[in-house]
Amino acid sequence: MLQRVFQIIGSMSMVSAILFVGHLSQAEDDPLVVGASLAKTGSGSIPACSSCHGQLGEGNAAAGFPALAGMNAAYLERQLLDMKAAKREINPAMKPIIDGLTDGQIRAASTYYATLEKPKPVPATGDIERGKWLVERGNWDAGVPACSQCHGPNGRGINEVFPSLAGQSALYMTNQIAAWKKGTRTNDTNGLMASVARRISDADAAAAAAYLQQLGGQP
Amino acid sequence: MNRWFVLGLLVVQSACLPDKKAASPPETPATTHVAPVAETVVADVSKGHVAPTLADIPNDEFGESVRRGAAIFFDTPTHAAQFTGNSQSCANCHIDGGRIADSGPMWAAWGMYPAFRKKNGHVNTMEERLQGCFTYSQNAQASPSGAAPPKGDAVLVDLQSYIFWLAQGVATGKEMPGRGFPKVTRPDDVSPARGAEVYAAQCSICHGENGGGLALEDGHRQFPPLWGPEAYNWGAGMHRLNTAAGFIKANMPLGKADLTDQQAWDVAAYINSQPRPKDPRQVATIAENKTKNHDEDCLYGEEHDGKTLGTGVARAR
Repeated sequence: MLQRVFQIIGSMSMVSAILFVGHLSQAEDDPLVVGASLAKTGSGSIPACSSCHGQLGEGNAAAGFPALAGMNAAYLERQLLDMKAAKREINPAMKPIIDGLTDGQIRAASTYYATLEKPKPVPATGDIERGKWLVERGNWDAGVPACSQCHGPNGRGINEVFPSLAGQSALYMTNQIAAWKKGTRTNDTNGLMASVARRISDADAAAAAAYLQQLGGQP
Repeated sequence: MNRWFVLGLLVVQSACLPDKKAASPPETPATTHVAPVAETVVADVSKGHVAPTLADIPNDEFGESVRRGAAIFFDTPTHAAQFTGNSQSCANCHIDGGRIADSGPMWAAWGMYPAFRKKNGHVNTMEERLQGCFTYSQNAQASPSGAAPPKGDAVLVDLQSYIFWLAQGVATGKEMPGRGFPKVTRPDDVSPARGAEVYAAQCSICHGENGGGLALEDGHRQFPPLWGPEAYNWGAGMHRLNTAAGFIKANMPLGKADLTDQQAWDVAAYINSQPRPKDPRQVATIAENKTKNHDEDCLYGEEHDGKTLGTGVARAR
């Protein structure tokens, strides 16, 4: 009888042990856990994403470091992979980081940041009224569609092809428009954004970007 | 294939495509991080008429009507819900709210009515012309009211205020350059099968693989449907291949508009060989209606993939 009790206790601990180990390996594989760890503490020689992209993934508007919080996961992943493949112009500070990240880590960080709350509004200087017009109506006299015609109402983002613009760093966005114009960013689907960018004046790019930054992330 | 070749013999007038490329002077970078711009592509706004923008609408009673008209024009299913039987807005085909040459500008239409229309065999006022848009492009038969707005309805008044306002300064009765969509020379061979490839590569990104467009979770109509129950019906002007090819050539993909004439025609044929709501003029058979109302460059009544085009698809009620 006593032996039977020990047998039961023994098998129960075995079950617990298996469950515990299972839980541990699950946590190590969970992209949200891996992504959060990369974001907050980095990995090996790779610094924490948050050291440039902010504690909340809100980016650094003044420095032009993009907000990542609440962006579409597949979009973020593609951007990071394209940076690695040199299809996107890249900040020199980001270069060693992107080269050091595995594809799995890239996916994990992207998955994690997509779950965060979209960035808060950051005040911006510029022609906000003109920017609002461009976002909502465009400048068709120069063949420029409204930002919202592809990126959704108030630039809130549609999917992995048409990312959120609202609450993004204005400087980051004008840098990207410039990169498309120069041809140093070429990873847009079907060359759609490159075509639009070539029709946008620098003044209009700055106005639209300022409006979108101060708008903050849109639900 | 032979059928397409035969259709190909229906030659359309020679192309008069606008030259939309003109270099603007290089601009001084606003900030040091922005590289100088080598070339900026701008539309040829000298063509036709530069209409005022919404920002210029007067702040008076008439201005209010213009604003309501603009709201209807840009989001018809929301602001003319009683009379809209699908997910189409005027501005889907009349780009920039009907302001831009070669994209069905409303300022070029205003001064051309009243006009005789072969489509219904009598002289149409602008008001009746707008009813036609609701009947065919907005498929009003499937709307809550079941028909286009009646004459005198506020929807038609406000739309006319908006159109009149866009057209201020344009001479009455003058055929304006940039009216409608550009005529694109019909290639010898037009192929819906090739068009399907163009569609998959260039169009489905927005309009969806099934042509249904994209509605967001909150109901916002982000990208318009091109076929299916939420699209224009078999009586709408856009079901004509020449009209669709002209629109596509001038405007699609949005912000890029770089398809070849052949691609524009092929994809127009692909889109217009898909199911859509039935022609409201059909009282007897499709064959009878084809003879009576479809003496034009379209696929209505043709056999395609074992089906007769024109049967019609309806909204689930």
